[in-house]
Amino acid sequence: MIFRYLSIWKRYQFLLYQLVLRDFKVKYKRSVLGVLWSILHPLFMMLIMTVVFTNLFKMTTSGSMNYPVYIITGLVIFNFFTEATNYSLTAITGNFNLITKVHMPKYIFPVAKTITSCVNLFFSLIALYAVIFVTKEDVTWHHILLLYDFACLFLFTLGIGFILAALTVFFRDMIYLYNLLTLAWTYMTPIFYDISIVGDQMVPVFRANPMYQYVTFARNIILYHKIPSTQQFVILLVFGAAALIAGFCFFRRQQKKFIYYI
Amino acid sequence: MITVEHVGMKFHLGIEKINTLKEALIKSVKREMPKNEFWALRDVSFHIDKGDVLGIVGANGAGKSTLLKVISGVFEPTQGSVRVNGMIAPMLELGAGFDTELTARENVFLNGAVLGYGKQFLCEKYEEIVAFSQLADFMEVPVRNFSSGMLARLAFSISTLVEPEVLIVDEILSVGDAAFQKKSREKMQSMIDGGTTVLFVSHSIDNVREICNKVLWLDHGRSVLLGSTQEVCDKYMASLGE
Repeated sequence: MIFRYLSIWKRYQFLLYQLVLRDFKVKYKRSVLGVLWSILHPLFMMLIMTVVFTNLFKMTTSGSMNYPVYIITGLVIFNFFTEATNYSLTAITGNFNLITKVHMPKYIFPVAKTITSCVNLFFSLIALYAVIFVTKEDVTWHHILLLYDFACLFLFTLGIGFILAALTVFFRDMIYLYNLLTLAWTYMTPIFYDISIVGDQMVPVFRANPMYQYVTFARNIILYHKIPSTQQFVILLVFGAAALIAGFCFFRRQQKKFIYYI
Repeated sequence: MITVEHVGMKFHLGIEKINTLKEALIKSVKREMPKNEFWALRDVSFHIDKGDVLGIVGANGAGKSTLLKVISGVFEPTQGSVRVNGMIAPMLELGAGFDTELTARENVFLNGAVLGYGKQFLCEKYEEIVAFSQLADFMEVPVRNFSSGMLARLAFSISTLVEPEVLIVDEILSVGDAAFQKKSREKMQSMIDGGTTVLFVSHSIDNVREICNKVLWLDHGRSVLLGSTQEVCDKYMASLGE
């Protein structure tokens, strides 16, 4: 069965490439700065948050931490997830004109959306390293381990994307529900605050949040220059694989019904 | 080449379709499940060989477009089976596969990829597609600025110049100006001469008589008659006259 999927992917490789190219081109069409926005957006978000939380709210983080790098690490990772899942949400409903005309594997649409967001992630990493450079944070060999973080995050995001794409076909309410869910999720993930500000009894709840794990893994590397614990390596992969398998199975079971609801 | 056996296609009518969470909740509370079924196709069987040009005629709602979609694999039939040997190129309705923000050139590649072709193949065919569409001066223009005639020309040029083994044409020859209509009919004729199998849906009996060698007459999802163009068209026209 796996072999069959691989041969299908091979056949539709060029379509996948074209879909990603289309999404990326359309995203910045008619904007003057174009792709520069992928770098500027996280940079400005980080600046705004840094000003708001260090000056207005007098947010204190543990020790003499590099707050700008702390924030932009969280932002880059969390924004990738929200952007990719929000794109996937409408991946099927937005491409109904193709799905109702031509036979093609429907998986390709959420995958294309997630890969498009990876391209954006690449550009926002430029912003991340710019901030690291400006704030004179050291870059150590540990940064290689970020690839593992991103790989697991990709699996997790794709899995959630599959579920959302399928659900939206049946319930258009998902667009509004998910919007609220992401808002709650943003506050439940320590992006601009440190987990030490929440009560001790709440810490396990925060740790159960996959996004907390993906963000913390990256911060361990970038800010503390240390190898994350074996446990963290395992957790990242487990979350990623579990989401992908669940998402893939759900999508596969529902996809035959899509055509009647679009 | 194409074998269709006892194909039935059942739909739940749109009125009863549950599309929001609220409706689903109300429906489940009321224990009311959608029962409004509609058979768009019922027990349709036929077989055509390579090189055949099958015309499909019938009134609106007879199931012609549904049949094409079942054959091209978009719909999975509720009953029966469809076997197709060879690559199918559906004629995308007026730029259905186009992204209006992209230029015509970008759309040629996107559309070609949607139809299942690879990069190398499309690069080789690109010049030919442009020449046939007569849109050489507009290839770098976003297609949102195209007229519907220009869109149709581009769509037709992509669908036909990639040499499919099975071409599916749903009412396309009625678009474009007279000159392009003539040109596209000639193009189809040359594809037919070259051995391409064509499935052709049209309300124009004249077009059907001109290019088809077999005709299938559908009425309310059932096949009424399958036979030679002359025979089926005459009987179909006679039934309309009643």
